[in-house]
Amino acid sequence: MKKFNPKVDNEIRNIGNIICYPTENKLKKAVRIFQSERGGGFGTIFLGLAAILLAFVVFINIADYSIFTYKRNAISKAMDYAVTAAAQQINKTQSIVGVANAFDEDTGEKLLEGVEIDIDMANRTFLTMFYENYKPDDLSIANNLLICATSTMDGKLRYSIKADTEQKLDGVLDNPVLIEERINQAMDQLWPDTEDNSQVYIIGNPKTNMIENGTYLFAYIKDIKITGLYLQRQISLSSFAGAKLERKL
Amino acid sequence: MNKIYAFIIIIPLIAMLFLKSMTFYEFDTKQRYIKNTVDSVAHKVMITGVLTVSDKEELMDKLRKLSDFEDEDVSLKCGDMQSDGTITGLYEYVLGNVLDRGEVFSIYVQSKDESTLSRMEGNSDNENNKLFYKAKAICRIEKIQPEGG
Repeated sequence: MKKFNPKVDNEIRNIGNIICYPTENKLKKAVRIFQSERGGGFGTIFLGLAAILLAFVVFINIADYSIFTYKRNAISKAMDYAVTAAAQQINKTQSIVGVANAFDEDTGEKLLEGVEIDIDMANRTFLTMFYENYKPDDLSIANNLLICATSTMDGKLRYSIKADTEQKLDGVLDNPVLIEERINQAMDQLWPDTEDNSQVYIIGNPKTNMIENGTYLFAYIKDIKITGLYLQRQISLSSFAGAKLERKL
Repeated sequence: MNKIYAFIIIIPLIAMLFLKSMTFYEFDTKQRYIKNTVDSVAHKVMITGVLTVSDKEELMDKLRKLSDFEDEDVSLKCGDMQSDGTITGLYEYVLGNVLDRGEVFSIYVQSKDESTLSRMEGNSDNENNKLFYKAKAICRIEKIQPEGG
């Protein structure tokens, strides 16, 4: 059994008001070296540098996430501007115009049916407006963009989905609630090999359904890679806008 | 004595890290505020089609609280969107002019002085490396034209 050494052991007992027992372990040895006059400098340097390294790693990570969120917010904002601009690309030749067609014969009310968005022009306008607002060197969205234009005809919702700059899907839905499912199906169909399984959520419940029969434009950017300070993260973003139509005499 | 040498190494490192963190935090926060301010103005014009003199003064007040901005540091432009979906030939926007639906409005701000972070990083020697507070927003007017307008 180890002999009790009052000089050393009492010193250990008093460290930081922590109750210590004569049994020495590695931690106590380290603390004793740190507290002793001899070799104390190395202990301080070691602990100090470790703390600085830890603080540095934390700082770098915070900075990285901060840059990422700034870029993500800027992209999200650019999408808002782009989708609002693109929603105005009405195809007048495809849309119903004229007093005889655009007004209800019985009531005289203005009808907003049959007003079509030109999906090709909307796609081009979206990209122009997006890049005007946000154009880093390391990001191209042309091949990650899906846009969906809707319009109403005879109480049904017509849609046109364009993605990957070339592929196009058209169809008619009896109920506007079904558009969410249709967009998600189109995404699975157009990008079958994607790693990201995120879906578009438009409908919270039947009462919070954002989609009604009308002329709308949805935009969805899938799997874009945003680099912060050093980490690259993959996200998907969506936005939509109504065409804010008005019939005039 | 050894501890004194140790602190001579440790304390400056901690101070340097702390200062870097502070300047980065300052830049990040101000840059976000400036971008938000510019976006708010762009949204206002997008919905109403007009930026008034008082709106500009309000914008300048907000920007000056964050950094050194003069009137010439804020660029306001407008123009038409081309039929092929591109934007070319934007011209100077005159305050109070009411833009029509479909027109394009652009706002770009850049601080007069470089940021503290940039000075601290030693970017001042090269003009291209200087880090300014800047923000840009381009929108298309979406207001509904008044009846008969």
